[in-house]
Amino acid sequence: MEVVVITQGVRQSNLVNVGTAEAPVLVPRAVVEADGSATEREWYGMVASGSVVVPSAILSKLIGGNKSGQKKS
Amino acid sequence: MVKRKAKISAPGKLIISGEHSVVYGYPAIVSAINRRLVINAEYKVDSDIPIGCGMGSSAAYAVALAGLKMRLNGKLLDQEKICSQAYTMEKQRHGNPSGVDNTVCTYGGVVWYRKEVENFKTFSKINARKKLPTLLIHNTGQPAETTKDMVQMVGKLYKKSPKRIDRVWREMEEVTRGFLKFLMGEGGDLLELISENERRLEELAVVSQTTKTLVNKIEQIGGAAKISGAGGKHSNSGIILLYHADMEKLKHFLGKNKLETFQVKMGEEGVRDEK
Repeated sequence: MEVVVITQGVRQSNLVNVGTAEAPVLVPRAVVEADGSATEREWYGMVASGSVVVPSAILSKLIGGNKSGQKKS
Repeated sequence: MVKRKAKISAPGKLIISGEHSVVYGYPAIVSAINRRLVINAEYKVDSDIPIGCGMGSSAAYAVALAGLKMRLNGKLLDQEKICSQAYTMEKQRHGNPSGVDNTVCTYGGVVWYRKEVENFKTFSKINARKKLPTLLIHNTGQPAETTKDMVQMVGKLYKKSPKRIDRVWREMEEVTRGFLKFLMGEGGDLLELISENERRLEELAVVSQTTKTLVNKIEQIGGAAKISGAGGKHSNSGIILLYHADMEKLKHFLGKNKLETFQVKMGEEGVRDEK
């Protein structure tokens, strides 16, 4: 996994800001530590089924590689 | 001081169509199901929603808790306020909830959802026909990959072959729109829709060979099955949704193969007072 810039450190006990101060994107700490924990599993499951929304630039950092952009018909 | 009594329940949910493609801005259909979580005035929780399977147990808890607080304050259930309070709770827990889970668990029914742009999502409650089909759910088991691996894998596949995956997304949207028509009673074949959805998910390589073999066997007896959620590639693929026009035939097959399932009905009622 590519390095995720954590700009604001711990925002709440279990959430980490992987966005910016102006546009915070809070994710559970487990998801950036890639530990395969229940929290990480649940959270990414929620990403896959649309229950949580991650801006594409942040998603790109979380999944690694460059942003492909969002397409829609 | 008067000790108030209250017992509130909220349904779980199931993603019917659009997993993975929803991340990239394509629509999804999510339904409330008749597996419920009940919470009472002593804050005792009784739930038949499986935990950690993407069936909305966390949102159902937030919705039922918001409803309980309202009732303990002597107020009638106000769905709009419950939905908003549950959303706040989900935010504290998950960071960036889309709002689809708390919406479907509060209002019930079937919801069409799409992330239009990053900060704008649309939810529409589908005016579903009265009699919605009963589905069976089978848990193929916890995948060998983490769910993060699955999301990353799809992301990498998209980056590697954007044209091909864009085509898959478009086909997936067509299938999701097919489900929409079917659920509204405007025709369509549920078996075909489930199978077509599964084919697209297989093309994304999020379905294991073992699961594909099982799906194939179910299709051979005239049924259909698809994964529901992120999936899994190497061994298990999480929960799968199964349907057959003759459910007894499907149950017989599952019994013969010692496959455990549970039945769910789509379009379940939202948050409600259990008193």
